[in-house]
Amino acid sequence: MILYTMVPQELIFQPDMSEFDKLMEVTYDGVPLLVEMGEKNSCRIIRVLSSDPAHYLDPKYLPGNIIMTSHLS
Amino acid sequence: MEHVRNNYKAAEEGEEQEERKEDKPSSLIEKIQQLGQTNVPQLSQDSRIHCLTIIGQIEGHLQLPPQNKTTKYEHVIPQIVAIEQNPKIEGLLIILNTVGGDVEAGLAIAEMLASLSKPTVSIVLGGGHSIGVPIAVSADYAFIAETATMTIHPIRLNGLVIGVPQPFEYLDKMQERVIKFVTKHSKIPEEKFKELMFEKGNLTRDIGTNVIGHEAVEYGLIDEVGGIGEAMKKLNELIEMNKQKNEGFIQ
Repeated sequence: MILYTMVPQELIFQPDMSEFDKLMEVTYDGVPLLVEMGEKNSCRIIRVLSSDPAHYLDPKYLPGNIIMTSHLS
Repeated sequence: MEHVRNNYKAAEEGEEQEERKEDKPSSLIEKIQQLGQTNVPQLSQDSRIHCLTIIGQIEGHLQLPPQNKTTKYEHVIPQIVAIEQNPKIEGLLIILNTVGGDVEAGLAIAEMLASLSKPTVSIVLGGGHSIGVPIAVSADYAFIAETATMTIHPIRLNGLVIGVPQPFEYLDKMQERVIKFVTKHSKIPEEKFKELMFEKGNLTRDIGTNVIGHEAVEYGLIDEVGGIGEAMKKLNELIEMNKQKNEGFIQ
């Protein structure tokens, strides 16, 4: 199927809304992070959103790390 | 008599509850003091130079699916505000590797960066296409990696605009905003930028030009070819100049 249209792809094939719910922006120790909610109060870091380069060097905030939601503010 | 007693009891309970309420915050403060753990960001650890990464697509009013890498203006703009306000931050490095995206969001970020009072240096790595161009030139000094490219092309209709004759003029006006911004913040003359924008035969089935590293510098769009080393050196120079200027004002 070829669609000849100027309508953006995202608008035609809209993603499931639940896809958006998984990701959350949180602050952990004052560092803004993008996390994916997991099971039992835990979440996995997807991306560091901070502008401070030092935060990217801290192993605590490495993408892929599991953090507990109870520590989030 | 019974009634009165009940009342008395109720009043007593009320007092107890009040006491508990008073207890709660104090015990929390105690805990914080004992453990020394709060979520307050520590200012002393702030870096002197902050770094802003403009990656993937610049997201506008439409939220893209989570698998897309995007730069969201609701993330970037508060960061720019925080950088402007924090006295410990002396300079900002902007790293671009973007395919472009929403015109309004891109221009908003570019305008914010251009009006920042602190020294800014941008580096284009990989690509700084379409709306990435105004963001790249918005910095005080712009670098481009030798292999990095920038696509200059007319703005396209890629969203929701009502299909009546007005869109042409509307698009033309929008394009004018991009051209004005780029020519104001870089050394490229308006005629040259427009020429590159409407060039035929460079892009497959599209009009525009793809400029690579040195070409961008030749046209005056970008100040210098270089990478992170040159960019940091320049940023430190600008910070020093800014400091001297500020000291001069005080005296």
